[in-house]
Amino acid sequence: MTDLEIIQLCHKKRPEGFARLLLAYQELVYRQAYSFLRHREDALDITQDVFLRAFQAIDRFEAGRPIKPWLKRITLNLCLNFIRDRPALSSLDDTFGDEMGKTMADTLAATSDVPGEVEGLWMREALDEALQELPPLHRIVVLLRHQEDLTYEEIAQRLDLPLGTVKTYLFRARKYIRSRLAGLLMAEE
Amino acid sequence: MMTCNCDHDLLQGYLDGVLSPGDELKALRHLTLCRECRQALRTWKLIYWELDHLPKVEIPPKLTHVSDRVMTLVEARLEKEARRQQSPGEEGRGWLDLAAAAVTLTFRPLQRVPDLGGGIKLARATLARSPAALAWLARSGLRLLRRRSVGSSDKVKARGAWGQLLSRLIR
Repeated sequence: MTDLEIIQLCHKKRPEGFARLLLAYQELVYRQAYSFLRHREDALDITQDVFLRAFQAIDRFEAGRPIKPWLKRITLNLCLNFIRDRPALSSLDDTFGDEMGKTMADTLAATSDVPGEVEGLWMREALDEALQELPPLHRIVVLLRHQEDLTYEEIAQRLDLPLGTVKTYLFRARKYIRSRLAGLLMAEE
Repeated sequence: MMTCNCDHDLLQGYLDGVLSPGDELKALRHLTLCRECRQALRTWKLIYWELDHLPKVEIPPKLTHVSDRVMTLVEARLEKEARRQQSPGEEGRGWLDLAAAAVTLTFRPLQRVPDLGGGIKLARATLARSPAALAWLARSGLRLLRRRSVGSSDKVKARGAWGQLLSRLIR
């Protein structure tokens, strides 16, 4: 079923329209929410809120427009609200970066010679951990850049942050990831 | 061991393709001369590749509970909406009584509406014709309250009822 057909059913207030909407996009929404928040239960709650928000706004959503970017936008906004409502979480972005050198040293010390096929898995795991450790907004900036292919300006606009802050977060987050993967990357080199 | 103090922000900017032509030329010149920075650039490319190709997030079985919950809520709201559209009188029953009270209290002194039953009848008849007519009735009721002598306690009650009725009509 196409996006147009789904929206037309929703506009006719047919429950199957919403069932189709959920079926087609719930995994996408959950995956994005989880990538941003790195917390399963929170991501599930956000997924529910995204679809309820979409339901409330569906009458204003023009049939024929693609659904995916719309839902992604709602997901991002709800995740940002979630983070901003929790000062303990959002303050992590301000203090991030001070311990970077230490982490790199730890990673280097913990790495030894390993067979090549294990390295790939380790790389994925280490990357996953590094993303998990990033403060939420730093992580979201990285994901919007690499997964959504947004420009710095677009990210700044979506997150309502100054362009300079976006660059700082992005460069700092990547440096942190690089430091966390340092041992494995040296093995590659 | 790295000896070159290469600018990693510059390398990131270079890979992001956001450098000005001048800075890009500067970066390229340096990269041709500096082996360490070429090595660093290779590492950055690897990190970029990994970030561009993150593994898919696993879907938890609980996601089906979420969609069930959403559908239950959506269906309940759709049903409520459908009921409201099919019989606006049902939805209006609460404020119909309010209208009846207002009509009765206001018009009784004029002997136009003998009792509450009469008020309800008038309110129902008015609502059946059109909500706009009821709005007119509400406004004229208020005007009447200002001009006519109505018992003071009745007047207070009627004013309150008319006020509520009007606010509902406006909403």
